[in-house]
Amino acid sequence: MTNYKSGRKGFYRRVFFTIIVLISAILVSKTVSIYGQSAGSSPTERYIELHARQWAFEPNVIEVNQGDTVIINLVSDDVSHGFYLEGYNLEAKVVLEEGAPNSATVEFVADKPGVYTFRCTVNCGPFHPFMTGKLVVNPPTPFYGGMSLSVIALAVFVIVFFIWRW
Amino acid sequence: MARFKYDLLKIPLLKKIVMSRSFQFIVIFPNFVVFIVLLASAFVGSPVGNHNLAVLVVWILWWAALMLVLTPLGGRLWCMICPMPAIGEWLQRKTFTRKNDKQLGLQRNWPKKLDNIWLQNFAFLIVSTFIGVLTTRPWATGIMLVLLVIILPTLFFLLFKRRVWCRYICPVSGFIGLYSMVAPIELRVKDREVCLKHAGKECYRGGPNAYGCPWYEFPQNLNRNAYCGLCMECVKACPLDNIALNIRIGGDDLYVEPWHGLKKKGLDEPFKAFIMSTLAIIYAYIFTGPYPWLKDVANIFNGETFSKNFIDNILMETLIPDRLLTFGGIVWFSTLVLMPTIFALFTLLSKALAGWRDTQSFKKMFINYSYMLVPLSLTAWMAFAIYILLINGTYILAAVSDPFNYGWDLLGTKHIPWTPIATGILPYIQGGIILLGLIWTINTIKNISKHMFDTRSRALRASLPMVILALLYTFLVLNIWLGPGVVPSG
Ligand code: SF4
Ligand SMILES: [Cu+2]
Repeated sequence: MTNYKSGRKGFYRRVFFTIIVLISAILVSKTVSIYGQSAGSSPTERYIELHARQWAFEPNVIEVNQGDTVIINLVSDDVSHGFYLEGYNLEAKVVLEEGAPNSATVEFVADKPGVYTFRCTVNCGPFHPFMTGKLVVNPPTPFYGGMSLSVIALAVFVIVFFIWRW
Repeated sequence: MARFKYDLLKIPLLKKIVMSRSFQFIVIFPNFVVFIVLLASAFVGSPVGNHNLAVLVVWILWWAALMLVLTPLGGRLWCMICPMPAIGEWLQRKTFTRKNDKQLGLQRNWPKKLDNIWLQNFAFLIVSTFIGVLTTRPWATGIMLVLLVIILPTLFFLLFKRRVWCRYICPVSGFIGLYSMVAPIELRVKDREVCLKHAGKECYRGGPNAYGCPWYEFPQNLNRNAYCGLCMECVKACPLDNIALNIRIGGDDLYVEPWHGLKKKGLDEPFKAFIMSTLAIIYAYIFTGPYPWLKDVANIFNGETFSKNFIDNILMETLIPDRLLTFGGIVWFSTLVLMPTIFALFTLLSKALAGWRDTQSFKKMFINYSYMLVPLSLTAWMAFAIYILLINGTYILAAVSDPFNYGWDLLGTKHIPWTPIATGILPYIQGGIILLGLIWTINTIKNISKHMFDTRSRALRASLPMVILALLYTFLVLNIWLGPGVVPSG
């Protein structure tokens, strides 16, 4: 391809651009992570009645803070359902039979920050594999970390690909 | 800039295998048997989607294998061993292995107007419209397999010449072709000058021991992987031994004009890229997202339980037109209107920054830049595929022991319970893949710009909106897999 001129003038331009890109990257990723951390407060006990129906949970997004003790009480609104929390590997089941209660409880300390999918574990009908919801343990550091990292990666590689190694 | 290339056909054993007329049959046949077993399993196996071998293998294992391994590493390696065209091609050639000059069928020419992948785009959208049903109802996957492995390919093989099915219609071919362009493997001629001087052109016309390119490709003009099915006929056909199967590092398939500029890039491939990048997000929302209403509309049939046999299962289900229209609307509108519009706006911005006058046309920039979506959406699909595989993969182990619901326990794995794997580190693996995709995409944007503009500053300015678009897409994919999958509410 075309060989573009480079010399002292080009060098200063590169340094200038590099600094601008780096500073904006740091600013953006800082903003992103501050936004993520903003939800910190002292640990409490959180009780959630989680209703399950074919094929959804209500509430479908649960938000707690890191360190909270979470008690989830699973209740079915129609057929038998289950609850499994990815990342924490917790399980509960409500099997609707004679004499069995329509309720199951899991209790745990939300010590790992991040967003975790929970899903049904009892074959409750065709869409059972897609019956999911999200537990958000604030601050969701992996998510904001990922966003910050992608801003930084973007900046570094814009510098590498576009400014230095054209 | 000499890139690393190594011709695998320099290995004598490999060359000998590939030169054999039985080669294709040998690699396709076992796969064909597998798909016939799957087909049977779809109808007589467990009526429960996540216990049925056909559903599990097609939608978890095959999908994951294509997105994670076969395509990114092997290009169209799947097409080399694909069972879909098998029956049709055997019938058309009237043989499993030999070279027959007289062929069966009408041998029509494919219409010039359809010399693009629009039909493949629509075929993929049709499959996607039914994705909620296909992935949960064995009978639906069964019907799909009957159509894709038996009826449709055979029809096209008997109506038209060569592999019209693969080249223009097959719903998976479109994205395999798109993503094959980044694979570290390529079939090319060794020396194009040799070809240009050689009048025989057996690679295209066919030789005494080989068929002319079934994919309508002309080896001397190959400069992209997109439509080379790696069938190895040209290797057998070329009397001058001028075909190489290279392992390569890097490749410029995404930046060059097809056929050394003899063909122009149309809008069909960019739209394939829009379809794939949009559906990577929509599929993720259906399968693991937190929005119940989207799952409800994706579930376009009304069955709520499972019956013992597949006929009862089909009979108890009725299509719900409202859902079909809503979900179909979402799939077709987002891929064919929304995403292209967003992309057009960013292209407009890019053109504004590069300079309105004396630069590339809007259309050319729109088309060329759309190839940045190839690495971007491929990695989004990889993040999707690895999640589905690790979360639901153990279902396969249980189902494979009793594919026909006869109460067998062939491998002693029947009672393995559903066990999601590595859920703790999974988000980090996905995050890594997504991040890698972003970096890869930035590099791709640079190369596209470099090929399109004559000055550095113009290329740089034009790239800027595209780099921002890549970042926004990355945020969206991260939000699905590492975040709540919803727009954060205050
Ligand atoms: S037969 Fe071989 S040498 Fe002749 S045009 Fe084809 S690839 Fe080139
Ligand atoms: Cu359920």
